[in-house]
Amino acid sequence: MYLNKIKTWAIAGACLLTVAAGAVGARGAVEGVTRSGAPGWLSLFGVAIQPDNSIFIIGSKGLLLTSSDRGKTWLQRTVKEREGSDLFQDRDLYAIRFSPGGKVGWIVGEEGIIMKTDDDGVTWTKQDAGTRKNLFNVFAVDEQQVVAIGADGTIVRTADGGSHWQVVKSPKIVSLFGLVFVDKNTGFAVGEFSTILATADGGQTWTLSYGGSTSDFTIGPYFSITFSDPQHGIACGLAGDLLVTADGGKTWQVQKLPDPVAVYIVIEDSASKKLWAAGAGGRMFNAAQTGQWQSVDRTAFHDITDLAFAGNLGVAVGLNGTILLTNNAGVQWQAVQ
Amino acid sequence: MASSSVKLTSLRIGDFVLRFRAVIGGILLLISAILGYYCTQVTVATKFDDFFPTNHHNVKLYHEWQKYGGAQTLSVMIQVKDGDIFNYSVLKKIQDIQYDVDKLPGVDHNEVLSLASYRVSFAEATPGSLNIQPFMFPIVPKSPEGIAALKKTVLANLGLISQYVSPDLKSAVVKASFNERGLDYKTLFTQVQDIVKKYQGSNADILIAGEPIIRGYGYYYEPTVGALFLIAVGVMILILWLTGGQRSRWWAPIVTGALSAVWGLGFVGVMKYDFDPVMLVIPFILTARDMSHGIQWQGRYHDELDRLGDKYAACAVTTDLMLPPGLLSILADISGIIFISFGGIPVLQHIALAGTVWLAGSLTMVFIFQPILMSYLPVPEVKHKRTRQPSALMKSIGESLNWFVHVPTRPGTLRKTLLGAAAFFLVYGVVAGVKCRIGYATSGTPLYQPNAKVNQDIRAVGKKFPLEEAWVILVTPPYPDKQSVLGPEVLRMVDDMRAYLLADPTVAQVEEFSSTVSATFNQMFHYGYPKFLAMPDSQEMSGNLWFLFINGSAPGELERYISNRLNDDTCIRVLLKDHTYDTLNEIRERIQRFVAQRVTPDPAFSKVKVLFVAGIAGLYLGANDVLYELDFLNITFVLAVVWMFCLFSFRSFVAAFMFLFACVLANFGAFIYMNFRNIGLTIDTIPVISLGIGLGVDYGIYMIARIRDEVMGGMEVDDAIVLALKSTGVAVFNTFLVMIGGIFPWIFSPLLFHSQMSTLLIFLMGTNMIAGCIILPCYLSWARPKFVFGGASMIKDRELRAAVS
Repeated sequence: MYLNKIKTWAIAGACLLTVAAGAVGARGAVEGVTRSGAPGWLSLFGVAIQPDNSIFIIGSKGLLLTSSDRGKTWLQRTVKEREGSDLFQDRDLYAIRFSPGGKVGWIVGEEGIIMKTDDDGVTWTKQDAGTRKNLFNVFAVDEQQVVAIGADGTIVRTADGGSHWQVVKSPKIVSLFGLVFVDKNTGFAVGEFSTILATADGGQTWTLSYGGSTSDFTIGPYFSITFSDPQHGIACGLAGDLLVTADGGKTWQVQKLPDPVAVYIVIEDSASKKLWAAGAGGRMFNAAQTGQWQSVDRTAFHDITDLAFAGNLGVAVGLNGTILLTNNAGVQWQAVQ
Repeated sequence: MASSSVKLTSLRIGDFVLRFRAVIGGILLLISAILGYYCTQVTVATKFDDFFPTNHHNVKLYHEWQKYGGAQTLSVMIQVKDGDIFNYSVLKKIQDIQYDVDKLPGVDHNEVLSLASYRVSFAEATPGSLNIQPFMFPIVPKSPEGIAALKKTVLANLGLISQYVSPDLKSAVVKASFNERGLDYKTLFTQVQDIVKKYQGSNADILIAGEPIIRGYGYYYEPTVGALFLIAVGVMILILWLTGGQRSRWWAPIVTGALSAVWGLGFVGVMKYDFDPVMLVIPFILTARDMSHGIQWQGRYHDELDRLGDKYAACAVTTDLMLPPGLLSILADISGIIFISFGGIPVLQHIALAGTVWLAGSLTMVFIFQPILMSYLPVPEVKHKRTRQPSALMKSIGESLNWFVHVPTRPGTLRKTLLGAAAFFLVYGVVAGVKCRIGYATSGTPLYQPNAKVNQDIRAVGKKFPLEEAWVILVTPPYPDKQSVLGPEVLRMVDDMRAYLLADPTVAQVEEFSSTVSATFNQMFHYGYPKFLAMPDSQEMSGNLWFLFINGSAPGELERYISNRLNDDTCIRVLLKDHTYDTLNEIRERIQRFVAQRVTPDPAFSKVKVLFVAGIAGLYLGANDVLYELDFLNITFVLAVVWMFCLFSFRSFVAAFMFLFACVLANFGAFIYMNFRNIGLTIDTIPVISLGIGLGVDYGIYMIARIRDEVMGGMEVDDAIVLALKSTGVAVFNTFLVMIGGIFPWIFSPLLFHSQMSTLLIFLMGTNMIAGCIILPCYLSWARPKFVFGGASMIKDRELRAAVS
């Protein structure tokens, strides 16, 4: 009797071990090239850090770089976004975001590319976005509800983890670059002509919150938006332009960075509660909660396109294979060669 | 025995020459006088085009697409020692150098580019506008704010300006292209040196690189090379005097050598070929070769004179006896050089044809004119008769030589070892020949010493700015066809090619319209937002960006990428770190792979033609391809000719194969040496090596002919070998000394090419002498082949000789 039980448990244990080993093996067997940094001739457009500090960077020509040792070594892969060999995978990937749990994630890119992983980024499968427009950004509210935005007012959303993507009407036909959700329902998107769109129903409908005057070509775009809390938000744009709200997006005030440089990304480091902005020519700025922006010593000269923080670990990526790392919450940044 | 030899000789040309000596001599002198006039018409110059195979695909491509710029590019780099280039003094120097380079003779004014050029510009996005402006034209900023603003602009656009400002900001370069035809390298070199002197400062070095400078240095070293030439001639004459000075006509080979030089150089003048100063070593070898034949002839003449006591008879007999082996060895020399013309490389064709005429002049002068000359001159007197007793040292040397000449005839371990070592050397040489590297093995130019200023400069400039360009040309339907060069898919494919090529570490940069213009302008057109640093998403947008570019850039700037307004061709410039054989082959294979895997299978490019490799890298590749084939073709032909002539001359397959192996044994040693010194077969080295192959075989031919003559005259086998070594061997050794003496000074040439080639030739002369004077006699004594020691016809011949005797 006991022997039978032991046998059953032993078989079950062996099966479990086999499955676990298979899973580990599958992760370990991810094909790619190990290198110390990104190829200098490729552009990096997006970065995400998982809760276990694994770093994911995406870029031009289907590039996916991953590091599980805080940026010491990188595995270079090509995301297969269409038929053909690696040489045919030449579409750019623009943004990567994981769900709060970190297991499920999405990549969006050129010509309506949407790729999804539900195994911690080991495998990526293509999803039908229902559009061929370029998708510049994506936000995963949770594992089911995801919104992506892009060129010419493109907004697509899914409520079932990407099984079905639905094109949502934008009140303005302008390219949208930045996206944030404050909670499951409330979100903002920014884009050309200083446009700020807002949603209160999880992205099903959008209204114009600010700007959007498409007849005035002297009005610059906003590229990125972030919220520290449901009330306090900030968007960044050309020539050091900032737009801040302290009332959950009801009203917006124009501010300026110390230098009039284009800033393509603004985020909050939730651990240190600092705001970070970065952009043209590798310029970076930060601001404590006092709201006083200061310039950070430059460690790169190429445009920075995205930033991500997790604890003390921070990663900035940009053009010409630029990767900047910090292990002390931005006190010092180091370029990955 | 001597008289029988004269009567029975099959050739009676000696009598004929002497009978009509006035007429023949007069004609030869007249021809020499006419060609002497043409010698004065020879121009010392370098034509770049002549160094590459005219009919090679790459060379044709290069000429067809020369509108994208020439291969004659000059780079003038300013490098600061402390700080960076961003101070008024250095920035002003960059602008002044830009202006001075623009004034150089033959410069293409549209292709003088630097930080200070009006054609090197950047685009800046501001709300509602896109500004395109040059970095530093027309005014150099003076104020600290202005300089700081320029530095910031450069840093923000480093990818765009990296061809003209190094990433460490310590160097900047002015690049210029030149029109190739009629380029005066000497004047250009002098004027570039003036620029260097003018702008060299305590904190700034001026370094220069580029093909015109490499060629120009040939003129810079002209006085040194000229001095070496005179020293080499002097050494040859001295050795000639030391070895033959006891005879009053020791100088005769100088006359024949000079006259055949007149024939060779006169032919160069008649054909209006240019004489490249770097190639000076080749005519020198030919003259030395000529003199060595002259020495052989003189040696035999004096032997016959001693024997016959009559100068006419001696002249006639020497002519009859020396003409067949002389003809054979000169034909071997000619075969060594004539086949290099088959590669279709103009400079090699010129060398081959002029060298052939030169060697034909040698044949005429040494074997026809020399007996006529000697017949007119009084009987040579022996000036210095030894009266002193030989010293102990001389006795010892004499004994050693006596032992040495008996080595081939002494059976035993030494002879077997020598034959075994020869067999090993032969195999090793063949293996080295198969492995021989083609093309340049290192960066810089192998024409000059590695530590020469030119190579130091090339290395320093090459570290900061890539110097070699390989071009890929796309030919497409015109815009607005989707497959035109402005079609988004075509632009994307070009960008893919760029990324694929850049993955190769030998590629420094790839410049093409897609990434340099389309993507950059697409980004700027969209507020500078980096996610638009990509190909335009529509045909219309692509056309708009093109229009924006041509309206915002200097005239002619578009033509660097797209040659016409139909937009039906484009140039992809692959900038390479060096032009070594491995780099060039790797890049060609990589392009081939890309085309096969990405372009050919994609129906989106069904009307797109991809042509490669043009540019200077294509020229070098073309030369490498031809040299690879030419090398083996040349060796095969030379060996075939040697085999055939020996077969004909000795009427024996054994003799033919014996000389063939001797030739391989002696000359494939060249490849051992080349592998050892890391020398590749290049356009500059192949003529010398080819000459070397035919050069030394005559040592063996003279030697075996003499042994055979003596055996036919009834002498015992081993006695004939010893006699041949003591007589012909001495003449061969004298020849060897004269040639070595003449070549040796070139080892000290500032030109690495001269130095390496002279060492190689000395090595070849040595191996040929060992093969001719030791290995072949060893083999003859050991194997006793019938063609020397007795076939039925030879025995009959010997009996006839004995009867007559």
